[in-house]
Amino acid sequence: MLSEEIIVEKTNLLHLEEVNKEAKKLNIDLILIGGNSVRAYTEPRSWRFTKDLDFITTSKNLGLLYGMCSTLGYSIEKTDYGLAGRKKITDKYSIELHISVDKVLDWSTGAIYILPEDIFRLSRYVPIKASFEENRELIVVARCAPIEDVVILKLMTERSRDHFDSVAIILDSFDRIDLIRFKRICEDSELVKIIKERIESLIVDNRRGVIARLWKENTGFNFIATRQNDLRKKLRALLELM
Amino acid sequence: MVKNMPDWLKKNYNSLWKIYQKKAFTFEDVVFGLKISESMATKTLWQLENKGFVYKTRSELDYRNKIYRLISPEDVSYIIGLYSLIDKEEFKGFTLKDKFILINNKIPYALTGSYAAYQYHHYVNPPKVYEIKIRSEDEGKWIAFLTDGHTRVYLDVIQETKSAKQYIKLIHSPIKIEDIRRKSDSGYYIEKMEYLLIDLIMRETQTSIIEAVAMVINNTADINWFEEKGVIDLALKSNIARELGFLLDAINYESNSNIINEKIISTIKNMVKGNSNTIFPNDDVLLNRYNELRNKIVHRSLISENELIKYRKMQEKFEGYTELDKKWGIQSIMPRNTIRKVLTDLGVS
Repeated sequence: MLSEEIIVEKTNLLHLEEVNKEAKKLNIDLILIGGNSVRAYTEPRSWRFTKDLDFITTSKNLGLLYGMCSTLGYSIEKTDYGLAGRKKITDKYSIELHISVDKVLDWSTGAIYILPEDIFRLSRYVPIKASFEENRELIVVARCAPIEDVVILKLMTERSRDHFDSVAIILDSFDRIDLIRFKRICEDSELVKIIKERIESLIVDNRRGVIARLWKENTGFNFIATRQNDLRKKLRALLELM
Repeated sequence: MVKNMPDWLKKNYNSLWKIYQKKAFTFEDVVFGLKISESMATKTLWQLENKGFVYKTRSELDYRNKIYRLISPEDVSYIIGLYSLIDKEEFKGFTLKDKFILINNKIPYALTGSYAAYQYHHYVNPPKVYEIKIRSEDEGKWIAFLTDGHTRVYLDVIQETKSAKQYIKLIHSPIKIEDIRRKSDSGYYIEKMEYLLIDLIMRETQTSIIEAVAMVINNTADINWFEEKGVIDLALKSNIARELGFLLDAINYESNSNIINEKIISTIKNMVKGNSNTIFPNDDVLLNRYNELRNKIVHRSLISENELIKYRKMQEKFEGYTELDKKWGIQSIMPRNTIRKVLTDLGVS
């Protein structure tokens, strides 16, 4: 018997696949960010996100994007960050698209992330695995933002849930981070100070056990000492860059 | 069938029970007590653990240190009997939820925490750790019943392991299980909305508050607010009426509408007198961030004017509910974007 959350996840992933395929067909620059992009770089344990699908695009793609969304059955409205799309699936459930245009506005700080010139070129089609065991066979390939951009987008906010996501990516996929690019895009977006402060604060949080509590809150798991040490080394390496 | 013990394992289990009963023992104790080789001791413990007939914990300081406790023969027999009712072929496709449906009323339980909350709010995905409320006397039965090759059951600290695909945390319920649960549409028992809401608010983490807010927004008309064992009654008994009132008021404040009926808020307000020094939420992560900012601002000589302005702005985000703080007599440190984001995501504002 399948529970509702399993059906919701499956439906969401199938819609993500549909949006991706259509964007690819129409040559639209549309890449996945947000909680769902975290899936591409972390183990399944930490996937506690909402069902919204967050994307980025550029203003030159907007004409085609409007057409694509309405063909796929989404109602579209303009927002302060770009576009919001909604498609009703059942009375209780709809697919929500949040598409940031040219920049990503973090509403917890008001900070703006200007999309790096190479973000679309370096984006990759990555398998997005399902979170629930029952959906494990369903693997959707989606065009994801490069890992460096995902980490910065998560570090620049003041939401502790985002800090947890960034910690999970750093722990699980540190070797995939291009450190030179990480530093360059921080500089280009004038975010060096914010990111540096955040990394420093995460180092302190890790030492004080705050990360351990955040880890437990979001995964239910104990944050073991070896993982704490591993995180300390990786955060130090990032800090030295800045 | 799957839970059956081969004769050699039965013999080792019985010998261990004679020596240790419910007392803790280590790997070395098994080698010494049963006078068997290290490889045989490993095999014995591995088999017992996978079948859920022994409960293993690890030292927080040294992950390699393992301590074991046996599940009693009565509980083991009960679960072997229960499993013998399931056809072997049928068992292959059995999910955790199928197990909960199978157990039905045989051993009382209620799914709680984020998993149960998800059934009401459909908002943030639940984690891989399922929490269930049980009677303390059923602990051994649950460990033996739920543990299998992919499922690990814990009583306190949950350790991530490579072999496990799902994790279960058992929570002893001080309240009669039958009173706190209802059957979900899928056929398993989840905690009633009213009890769960109070539980989430009492956890006072950002995630639990977000889940409580989402539950309220999506179910305000279906929640029993006023009757006995309703939310207000339970909040008063749990001494969190002030926090509940504040949270409901903050939802209306952020949405700029009366999502929560004013009568609910005024009823709670009439029951709450005076002030308290309570900081809400008493969440370590938020408290650390807030104190960090306060320290930076206090040491003004060490920061520039621009930094001071920036930190003050950040501090204001933690102190964004001054009017509501006065009204409810608490000091809230909940950033305003916490509730705002839930409202926006759920399409309310």
